[in-house]
Formats: sequence, C-alpha cells, structure tokens
Amino acid sequence: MSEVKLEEIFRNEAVEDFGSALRKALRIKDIQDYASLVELEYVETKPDFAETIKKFLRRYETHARKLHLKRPTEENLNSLMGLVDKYDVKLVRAALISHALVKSSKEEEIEEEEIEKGGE
Amino acid sequence: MQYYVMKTGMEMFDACRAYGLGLVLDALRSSEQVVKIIDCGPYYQIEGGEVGIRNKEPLKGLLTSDLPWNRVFLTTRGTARDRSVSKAKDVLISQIGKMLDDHKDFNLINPFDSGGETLSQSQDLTATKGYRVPVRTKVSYTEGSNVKVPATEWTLSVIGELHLGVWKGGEALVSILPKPGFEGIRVRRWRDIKGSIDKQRVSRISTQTTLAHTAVLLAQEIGSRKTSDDPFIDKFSSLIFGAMTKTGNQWKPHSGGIFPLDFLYELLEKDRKIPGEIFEIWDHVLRIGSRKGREDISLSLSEFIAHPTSDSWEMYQRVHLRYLLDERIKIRAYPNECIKEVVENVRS
Repeated sequence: MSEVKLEEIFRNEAVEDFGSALRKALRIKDIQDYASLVELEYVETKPDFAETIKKFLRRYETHARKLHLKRPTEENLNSLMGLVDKYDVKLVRAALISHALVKSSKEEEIEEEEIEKGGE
Repeated sequence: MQYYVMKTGMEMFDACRAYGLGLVLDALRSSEQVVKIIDCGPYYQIEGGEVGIRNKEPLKGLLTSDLPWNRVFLTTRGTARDRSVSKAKDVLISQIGKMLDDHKDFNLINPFDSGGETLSQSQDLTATKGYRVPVRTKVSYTEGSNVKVPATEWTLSVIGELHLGVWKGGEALVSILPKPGFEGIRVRRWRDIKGSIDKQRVSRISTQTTLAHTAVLLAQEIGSRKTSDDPFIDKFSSLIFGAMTKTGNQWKPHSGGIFPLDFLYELLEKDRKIPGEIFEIWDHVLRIGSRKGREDISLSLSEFIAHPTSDSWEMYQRVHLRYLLDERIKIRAYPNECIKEVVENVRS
C-alpha cells in the first residue's frame, strides 16, 4: 500500500471524470454542492464512500439535466469503486478533491459563463 | 586549490565557516575561477583558484560597517559589540595566513577549548549558555558556560553569517542559512540570490511559515537562474535555522533545526516552466495567509512543503478549496499541469 503514489490515482480516467463533475458541482453558482464536499472529506470506509458518491450523483443529476452538463459514466463509476477496493478510500478521496482544486479548463469556463447568462 | 572545513556538529557555525572561507578566497583570488562549496559529509570542501595574501585591501571589504553586525552580535551590546567587531577585523587582517593554512588539510578544531572567542547564541543556537550544563538542579545557580572557539574560526563564521545569513522577523527572529549540498554551490551566486530574498517580505505567522516562504523564494530564484545560459544549478540540501525570541532584555532560543528543501528541488529538476508557476502560486497563497484570520492556509501549506505526504496535501487542499469557494478572497486555482506535477511528487 505504501508504494502507491497519489499521482497514479489522480491520473485515472474515472477519477478525472468524477473530479471534473465535483469541480463543476462546486464552482457553478447554480449548483454549489458543498454538502457533497463535506461528506466526501469525512468519508472513511468503502460503504460510506459508495453512499457519498450515490448522494453526490443524485444531487448532480438534477442540475446536470437542467444545465446540460456531462455526467460521469457508469463504467467510470465501476472503475472508481474498483480503485477504492484496490487502494484506499483516503487516497481516492484526496485525488478527487485535488481535481476540484484545478483551474477550470477553457471549455468549462465557457460552459459556466453560458449557464450564468441563462443560455442553457 | 582545495580547502577543507571540518565539521564540529554545530550546523550553523560549520556552514558559516565554510561560507566565510569561501568569501575570503573569493576576495583574494588571482584567477577567474569561481569559488564553490561542497558538502562532503564530515567536512565542507571549498574549491577555488590560487590566492595571494600580499594585498590585504580586498579583505577590508568583507567587514564593512553597513553589514548586519547588530544581528550577528544580537546578544551583545555597546562596548562588548564594538570589541567583537574590531576583534574580527583585526584577526582577519593579521591572521589571514594562518586562516588559510589551517584549512589546507583536514584539521579538527576543539569548540569547547577554554581559549579563543565566545561563540554567541545568534551565531549558532547550540552555543546558548545553559544548553550543555544543568543550571537549575545545581546547589548554587549558574548560567552555564560560554562556548569558546579559536579566533580565526570565529572570524570566518562571522564573515559567513554577515554576508550570507538571511534574517527574518515575526513570531521570533529567525536566522536562516541554506546548507550547501553534495553537488555544491557557488559563493557569488548565493550572494546574488540572498540579495533578492532579503528584499522580499515573507509570511510571519510562525517560524515554519517563515521558513517555507523563504524556501519557496529561494527555489523561485534558483529556478529563474536555471533558465539562464549558465546550466549550473546551486544545490542546497536544507535551510539551517535558529529562531530567537526576546524576553525582557534578553534574547532566548525559540527553536532551531533544519528545514528540508528536497521536495522543492524535485519539482525544479523536471521542468522549466511549471515549477515556476507552482512557486508563484505558493508565494501568493502564503501572502494571502499572512493576514489575520487566514493563518490556516499558510500553516497547512508550509506543513505540506516541509512534509509533502498525501495526508498533508489533503489537509492543505481542503483549506485551499474553502478559500477558492469563498468569493470574497481572490485566490488562485492550480492549472491542471501544475497540480499534476505537485501530485506526482507527493510521498505516500
């Protein structure tokens, strides 16, 4: 376990997909899902992690439908849970939060601006 | 020509002596060869060209009155300080031959010899009176004894600290000295870098934030020089520091030790542009965290810079994210390539 580098998890496609969704959920003013962030920060076990992701997806789904946002795929959801099995909740959690800290990409910024203007 | 400074175990004193000798060689050199200091484990090796000691005029420039004497001799005042200043000047001019000869070979010095000059607390925190002898359990109270070192070594240490020590105030007054690494540093280059660091303000929340901020500024300077035509990179292994705090009229030791620089060098080694951007963000974050009520972000970032583990990273990024989501504070987010670079170097 000690050999695992955070970088490997950070670069994983599923983590990138969920991390991007988390970033949008926090940064887009119409969503600002702080509840999911707080829950994610304190999650320690795999069942709790699954429950937190479930709640996050449920909240995100409502906004994603309304704002036409890209949702994480089912395949990536399975991979994410696989990562938790393989590594540890703590590392996956840290990698996901790292993605939330990333500056929005150009496409995301345009997307956010359009949403703010109400042109969804 | 090679010179050696054997270590005594007093980190700051040893590094100051090596720097002092490097500066003396640089002042006296008759060729264009640059003076380089390398940490070789039990001793520092100083590489320089041929020197001539007939003309002692260049040495006078090493002990001018515009240097921070009041910092180096922080614990002495008035006539005692004046005496120390004139002693250093006198020894440098009159004993320069001995000074160089003593370091042409591996000569050990006895720092606890009864003769010689008193090493003050501000020159090395371990020289503080009362560190080595029990003062309270004795029948009659004593303040402890001074550490006496040979006058020539003491003078070298004074020269090194006067020119190359960085002093930062705050919670405590901290003297900081980057320790030369195994690959070596150039004396002149460090003098330039030090000049730039001295001019900049650093976070004063705690000794750790002061050190982390100084380390980031140092890495920024080294990184910017890396992109210049000269490919040599000065390798410092850590920052040696000694923090002192004033209690009434007396300066007392606060904390001392070394602050690691290996993580910053790991970032510097790989790329040219990205580390520069990371250090810019950290400088910006530490400045934001210098304000009252925002100490959490500078404390968590400095902890991460000192101990870059996944736990400290997570702790810091949580705090940073809170600030990012708070629109009242304009804090920068990390570009994707920067965060990848940081995460790549995080230790398990």
